[in-house]
Amino acid sequence: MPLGIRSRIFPFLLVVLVGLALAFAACGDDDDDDGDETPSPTPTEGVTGTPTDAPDIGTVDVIGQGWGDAELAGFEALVQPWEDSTGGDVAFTGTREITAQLTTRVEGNNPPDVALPAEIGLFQQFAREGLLAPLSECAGLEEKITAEYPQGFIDLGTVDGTLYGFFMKADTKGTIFYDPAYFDANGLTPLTADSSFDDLIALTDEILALGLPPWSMGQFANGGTGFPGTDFIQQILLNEAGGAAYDGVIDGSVPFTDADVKDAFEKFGQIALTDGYTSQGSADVINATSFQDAVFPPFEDPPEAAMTYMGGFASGFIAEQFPGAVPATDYDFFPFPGGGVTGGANIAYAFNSDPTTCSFLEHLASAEAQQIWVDLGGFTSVNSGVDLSAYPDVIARAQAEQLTLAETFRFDLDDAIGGDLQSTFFVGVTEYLANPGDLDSILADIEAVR
Amino acid sequence: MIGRAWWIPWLWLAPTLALLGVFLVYPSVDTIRRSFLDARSQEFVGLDNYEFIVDNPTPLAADTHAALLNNMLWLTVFTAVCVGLGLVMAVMTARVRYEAAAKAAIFVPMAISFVAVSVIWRFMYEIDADVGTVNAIFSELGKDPVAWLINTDAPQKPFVDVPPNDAPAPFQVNNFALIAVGVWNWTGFTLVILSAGLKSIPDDVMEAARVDGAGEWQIFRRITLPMMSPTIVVVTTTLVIQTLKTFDLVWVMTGGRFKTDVVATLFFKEAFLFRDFGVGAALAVVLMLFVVPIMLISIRRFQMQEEIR
Amino acid sequence: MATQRLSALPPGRLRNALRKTLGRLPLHFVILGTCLLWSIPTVALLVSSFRDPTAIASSGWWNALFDPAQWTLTNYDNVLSARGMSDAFVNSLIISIPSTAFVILVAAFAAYAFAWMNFPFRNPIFLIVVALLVVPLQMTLIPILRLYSEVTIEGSIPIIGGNVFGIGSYPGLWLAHTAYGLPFAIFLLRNFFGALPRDLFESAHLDGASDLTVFFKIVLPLSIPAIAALAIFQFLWVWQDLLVALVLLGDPNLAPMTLQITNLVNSFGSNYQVLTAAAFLSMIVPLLIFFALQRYFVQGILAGSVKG
Repeated sequence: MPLGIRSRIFPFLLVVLVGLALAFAACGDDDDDDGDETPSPTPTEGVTGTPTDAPDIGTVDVIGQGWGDAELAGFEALVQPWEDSTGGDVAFTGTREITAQLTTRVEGNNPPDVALPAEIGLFQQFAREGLLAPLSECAGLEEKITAEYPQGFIDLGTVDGTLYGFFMKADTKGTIFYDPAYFDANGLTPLTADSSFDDLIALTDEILALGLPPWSMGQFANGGTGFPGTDFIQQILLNEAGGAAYDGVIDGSVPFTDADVKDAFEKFGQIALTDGYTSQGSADVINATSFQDAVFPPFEDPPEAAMTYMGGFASGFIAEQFPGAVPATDYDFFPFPGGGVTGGANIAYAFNSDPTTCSFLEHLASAEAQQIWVDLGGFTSVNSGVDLSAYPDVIARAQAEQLTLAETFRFDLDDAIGGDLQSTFFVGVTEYLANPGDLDSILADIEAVR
Repeated sequence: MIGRAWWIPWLWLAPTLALLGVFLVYPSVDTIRRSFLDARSQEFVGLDNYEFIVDNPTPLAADTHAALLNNMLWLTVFTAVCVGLGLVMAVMTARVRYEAAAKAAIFVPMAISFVAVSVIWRFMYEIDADVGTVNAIFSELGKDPVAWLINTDAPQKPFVDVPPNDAPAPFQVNNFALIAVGVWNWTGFTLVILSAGLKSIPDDVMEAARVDGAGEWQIFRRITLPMMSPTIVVVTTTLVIQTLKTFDLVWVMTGGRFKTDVVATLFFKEAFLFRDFGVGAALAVVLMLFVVPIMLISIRRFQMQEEIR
Repeated sequence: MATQRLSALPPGRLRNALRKTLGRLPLHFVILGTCLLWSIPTVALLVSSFRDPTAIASSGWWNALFDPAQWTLTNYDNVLSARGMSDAFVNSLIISIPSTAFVILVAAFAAYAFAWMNFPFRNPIFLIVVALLVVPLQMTLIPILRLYSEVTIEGSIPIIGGNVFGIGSYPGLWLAHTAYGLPFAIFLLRNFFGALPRDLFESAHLDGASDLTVFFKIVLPLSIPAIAALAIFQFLWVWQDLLVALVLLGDPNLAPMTLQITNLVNSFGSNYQVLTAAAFLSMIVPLLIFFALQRYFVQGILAGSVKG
C-alpha cells in the first residue's frame, strides 16, 4: 500500500526533474566551459614570450570577490590565453564573503593558491604570519612588478620589506558624478583638480539657489553600510590634511580623534546635513537609502538632484539604469576638489609558489593580459604597460587617467585598515549622521577599537 | 519488550553517533577549547573572552549587550508568533477543502532562498514611498514613511505604538521589522510540522467527540491541543534553538548594523571578519549555553511523557 | 467533511446546513485573509521578476500590475543563460537528493532505537542529540575542513564527478549535510515513533516479529506524515545551502545553484533584480517536492490500527 504510492511518486518526480534539467540546458548556457582541459605534458611558450620548461601546469585555485556575470566574462577572457598556452586550468570561486571564506580556509589548512580580495588588512596579517609566498619566489615576477607598476602600489604590496602582492582592477574614489546637460543649461562649471573644498560648497549653494537639491547621498549597503561616507571623508582628509596625515591614520600615528579627522567628518557633515543640500532631506533617509539608488537622481528626467559622490564603478550603474545614456554627454564626473585621489584595487597574492601558481601570476600581472579585460570594460589597470587608448569609453579612460596620473594617490583608507577598525569606521559614519553632536565621543569610540 | 542482544540498539545508533561525533561534537569541543585561548588560538587567556562579552568595551565594533538582548527578543516574540500562528492555521486549514493550497501559500516563503527574501523585503521596507510597499501603504493612509531598517531617534508610529527615543533596546523598530520577515519566512515550517502532528490524531477520536456534541473550541482545547502537545514541544524547541542560530536573515538584510546584531552575526563578525577566534568561540559557547534552560524544560516534559507511555 | 454531511441530510435540513456554512464564513475569511496577506511579498517578488531591471529601482512593483507593457522575460533569460547554471542545477540535485535520503534513513534507525529499545543512557544521549541543534554551523566548518584536508582521496567519481572523498567531493558533502540534519530529524521522528500505541508493538512481538520487521512493516508506514515533513525540510535546507558547499567543495565546477545565483549580482551590488527571477527558478524544485509529498499528509493513518 504505502509502498505502492511511493513507487508511483518517484517516477513522476524523476520525469519532472529531468524535464527541468533539460529546460535549463536548452535555454543554454552559452559559455560555461571553464577550460576543463587535462593539462598537457609539454606546454609551449607562455604569454610572456619566454619559453617555459617542462613542469606540468595544472589547476590553480583562485578565490576572488563575488564578481557578477560581466566581470566574470572579463576575468575569463583575461585568463583564456594562459589556459590555452599552458594547458592549465583556473578554478575560480567568487564570493561576497571573501574575508570569511579566506579566513575559514586558512584556518582549515586548505588555503587557495591565489586570492584576489579588495582589502589589504587581511593580506598584511597573512603576510606577517608567514602564510604567503613572496613574489620573489616566482622567477622574474618581482622584477616585473617593480618595473611595470607605480611605486605607490608596490609599497602597498610590500609587508616588512618583502613584496607579496600586486594590484589589478583598480577603481578611483575621487569622482563626483553629474549631468553635463544640466550644468550646461544652467551655466554651472564642473570643478577641476585644482578647486578647493570651498569651491565645492560654493557650487552647492549655486545649485541650491536654482531650486534643485545639489546632492544625492545614500549610505545603506547591508553589512557595509556607511562606506560611501567613509569614502567621502577619506577624500576630504587626503585633500585638506595631506598624504602624511592620511598615512598616519592608517598606521595609527594619527588617531581618529585628531583635529584633521574631526574636520574631515565635519565637512562631510556639512554636505550631508545642511538643510536642503541633499535630495534625501534628512539623516535617516540618507542612512536608509541604498548607495545604488542614491546614484540615480541626477540622471532622472527631470533631475531630482545635481551631483552624487560615488566611486568610479557608479558609471556602470548609471549605464545600466539609463540604457542609451551617452558617456560624457548624459553623465560625466569631475574630480574631487584638491586633486588627491583615493582608490581601491584588488590585490593578487599567493599562498604558495608552485610552478602552476607562478605561471598564473606572471600572466595575471602582465599588461597584455590586463589589456584584454580593459578592452571589455569595467576594469582599470595600474600596470604602466597598458595604454590609455585601450579603454572603451571616455569615462573609463578619464578614470584610468585619474588613477595613474594623480599626483597624490592613496589606497582606500578603510580597506587599508581592515578588520574591526574598518567596521567601526563604517558604523561611526552612520552614527555621526544620526547624532552629529556626538562627534567627539564617536571618534573616541572608533579610536578605542584600534 | 523482547529480549534482544545488548549490542543491537547500539548498532542501530552507530551511524548517528559516528556522524554526530565527528561533525558536531568534535567541533563543539574544539570551539569550547578556543574560547579560552587568544584571538589566533595560540595562548591560554582564561576567561578574558567571556569578560569581553560581559564588559562590552567596543560597542561600535561589536555590541555584545545589544546582541544578547536582541536574541532574547527574537526568542520570545519570533517563536511565540511562529508557533501560535502555525498552530492556528494548521487547525483551521484542516477543516477546509483547499487545505493544500492554503498551506502552500504560507509555506512558499520557506522555499525562497534567504538572499531573495532579503531582496524582496528590502523593497517592502524601502524608504522611498514610490518604491517601498509598506511605506506606500503608509503614505496612502496619510502617514510619514518610516525607515524600517535603521535605528532612528525620530518619532515613529509603526503598527505597535513604540515610543521614540525612549524605546529601550531591544525594542527597536528595526528589530521588529526583521522579526516580521523571520515570521513570514518560518511560519511555513511550524505549519507543516504541526499539520503532520494534527493528522496523526486518530480520526475516530475526533469523530466520537463530535458525535457526542462537543463544540469545535472544546475539541480543540480538550483533545487536539493535548494530543498535539508532543509535536508542539518539538516545533517550539526546534524553533527556539533555530532562533538562537538566526544568522542568514539578519546578516543579509542589515549585516547586524543599526543595533540589530544577534549573537550569531556577532560571532561571525568576530571570528571570520575580525579573525578573533577567541571572542568568536566564546560567543558560540554562550549561544550553546542558552540552550541549557531549554533542554531542562524539555527534559521535564519528556520525562512526563515517558511515564505515560 | 461538511459536504459529506450535506449530502447525507434529508432536504428538510437544508436550512440548518446553510447556517452551518455561513457559520464557517469567519473561518474562510481568516484563512483566506491570512493567505492573501502572506502572499503579498511573494507576489511582489514574482511581479518584480517580470519587470525590466531598470524599473524595479524606480517604482513600486504594483505599478506593473496595471501596465502590461512593462512585463519582460529579461531577468529569467539572464538567469537561465548564465554561465554554468544548468550544470549547477544538476549539481544541486546531486547534492540534495542523497543528503535527504541518508538523513531519513540514519535518523529513522536512531529514532526507533530511542523510542522503542531499552539501553543504558538512552534518555541523556537523546537529549544531547537534540541539544546539538544549537551548534553554529560556521564554527564546525573549520575543524571539518581540517579533517577533510587530511583524508581527501583525489580522483573522479564517474557520472557525478568530484573527488572520491574529502574536500571537493560529493560523498564528503553528503556526510556533512546528513550529520547537520540529524539532530532535528531524530528529534522529529523520535517524537512520532514514540506516539505510536504500545499495543502495536506488543502484538507484533508476540507474533514473533523481529525489530527490523517491526521497523519496516509497522513503524515506517505509520509515520509517513512525519517522514514526508522531514523530507520536505531536509531537501529544502540542503537545496538552499550555500556556505557548506562553498567551504567543503572548493571546486566551482561542482558548485550548486545557490553559488551560481550569488554570482549573478556583481561585486558592486548592481543587477540585483536578477535575484528575483533566480529566486523563483530556484524555488521550483523544493515546491514540487512539497506538493508531491502533500498527499502523505493524510488524516487518520492510524485510524483503525488499534483493535478494540
